[in-house]
Amino acid sequence: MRTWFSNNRWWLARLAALPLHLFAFAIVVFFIVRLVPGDAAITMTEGQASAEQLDEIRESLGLNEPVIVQLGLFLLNLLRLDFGTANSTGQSVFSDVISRVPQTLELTLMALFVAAVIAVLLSAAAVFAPKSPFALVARGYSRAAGALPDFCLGIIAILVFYVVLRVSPAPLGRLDARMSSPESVTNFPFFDTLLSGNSALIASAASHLVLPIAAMSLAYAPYLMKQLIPGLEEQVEAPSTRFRIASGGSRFMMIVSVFRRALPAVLVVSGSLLGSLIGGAVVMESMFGLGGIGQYAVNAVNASDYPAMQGVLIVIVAVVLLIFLIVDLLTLILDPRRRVGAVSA
Amino acid sequence: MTTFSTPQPAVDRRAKAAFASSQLRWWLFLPAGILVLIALIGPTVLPYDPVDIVGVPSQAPNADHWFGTDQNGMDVFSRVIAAARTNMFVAALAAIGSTLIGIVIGVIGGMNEPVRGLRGFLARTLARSVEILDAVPAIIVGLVLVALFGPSTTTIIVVLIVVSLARQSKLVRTEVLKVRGDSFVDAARMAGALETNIMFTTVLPNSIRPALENFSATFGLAIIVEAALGFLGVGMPPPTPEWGTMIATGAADALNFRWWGAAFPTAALIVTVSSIAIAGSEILRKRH
Repeated sequence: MRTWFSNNRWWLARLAALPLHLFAFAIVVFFIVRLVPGDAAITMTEGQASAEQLDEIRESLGLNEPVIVQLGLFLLNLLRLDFGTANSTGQSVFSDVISRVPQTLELTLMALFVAAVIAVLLSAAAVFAPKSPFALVARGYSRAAGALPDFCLGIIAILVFYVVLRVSPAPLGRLDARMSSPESVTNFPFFDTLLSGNSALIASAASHLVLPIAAMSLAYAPYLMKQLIPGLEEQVEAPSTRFRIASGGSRFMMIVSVFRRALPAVLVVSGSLLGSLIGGAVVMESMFGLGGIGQYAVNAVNASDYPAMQGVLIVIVAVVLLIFLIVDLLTLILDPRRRVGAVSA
Repeated sequence: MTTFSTPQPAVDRRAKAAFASSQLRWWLFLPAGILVLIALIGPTVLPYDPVDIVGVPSQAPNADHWFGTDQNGMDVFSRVIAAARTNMFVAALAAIGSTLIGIVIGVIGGMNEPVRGLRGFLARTLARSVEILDAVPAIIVGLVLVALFGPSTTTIIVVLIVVSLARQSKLVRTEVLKVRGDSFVDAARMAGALETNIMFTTVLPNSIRPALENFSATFGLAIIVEAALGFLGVGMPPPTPEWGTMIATGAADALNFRWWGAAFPTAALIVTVSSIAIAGSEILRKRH
């Protein structure tokens, strides 16, 4: 007898595993931070505190307790979403990090979207118009996967468009220095700017985002194309395409159907790309001064702010695992054959 | 599969293409070879000391300083060449280390996963952890780890190994899970081979191919992550010549419209990564 539970096991199990993985990761992070040679209190104050001050800091960090008690406290605080206080900002690490996640996520998703558009257009050119010069360019470009580091493209973009051509604004923030950012509604900065409806603000925000997004999407589109071009080629030869040709379908219909069948494989790749894209976004943020998790992490590193670094690691992993879960579930929804314990129809 | 209905020219073309693709195109290894040469002998024939102030700061490229000088007055050309050794040496060690460790983890984990009891549980936990490690952005983990343990060559190599071993281990594990059930493994078992021997002499040689094929990609990625760490400020301690750190100082200088400090190390980085990718894809190309 099939119950609701066994029918839905494929997504329930994944959903339940997420907090478990996160918890395990948090324990690892805890021990890594404890492995750091030297006295955390001395490192944090850069050796400029008196003995009593050091004692105080140790007391406040709970460093005088046995390790197992520290671990227990750490995990308990984690459950209450209390990651401690960031020394660099003086605020709660959790609210610091969470308020910056949307900024990074927005940049990442916009770059992924542009990369997907580039990949789809160029792959279509490569497969459906194989004799055109575009096809040659597209195939050559798809081989550049991994050979075009995103932050190199970012630097080149700054050098070409800011230093030499002087057409783009200085890579120092999301808006012109004279403008004040719009009131935050969603915490997604560009979306907020759009919501504000102020055309000058929107133009400024867009011009500040063009270069980082172009650099990221140009760096990552080849990865998608490497998957998409063979997929499309396979589907062009597939029986269902022949059937459509035989029954006199239009060229447009053919292209749509080929894409529809080739896309699930690409979805998986784009999901696993998101991890690298977030890493790329971190670099872009400090290169273009965009704020977000990346800049926060770099600041925390420069200030030897252990609680903030811990918090960044845990929240980033949570975000990445959540994205992977969503991609995973999307693929399973699109392709039920992959589900664990799926009943073959 | 030649049939009579196939037009003759098509067959000829295919035969020609097959012949062409059966040859190793040695010239595709030239860029990588030249780079290795530069890394080996370049630092010994530099025009200037790469870690010393040798001229007026912020000179544009000229006859004395081919790539100009940076904001501290160090010669950019000498530093770019000297950094080739640092960057490629560190990344090569990291790629070799992560491939070796990845293979060991992949084989031990993959072989033990179906075992009941604690051993199997640990192996399955290992597989899950490797998957999580593979999902986490390498740059963020690297940034935090290097910051915690202090930037030094050893730390950076270890951190690069940690962030790149997950992919290698995953590739090996997938292969081990396939190979494990093959009849030659059963044959070895029936011949009375020890389980450890089966693991390392029977299964390992037959399951490391994907990791070796991925070696050039790992190497390229290690170079990129290393430079990104340098760019974010946790690279080799200054004034060690290192492309990422040079790009960071150069980028700060670019705001004053001085392009050369960042442009040359960036170009060096792209040329290096592309050369490795070209050589790697030529090794990987199927030749039958």
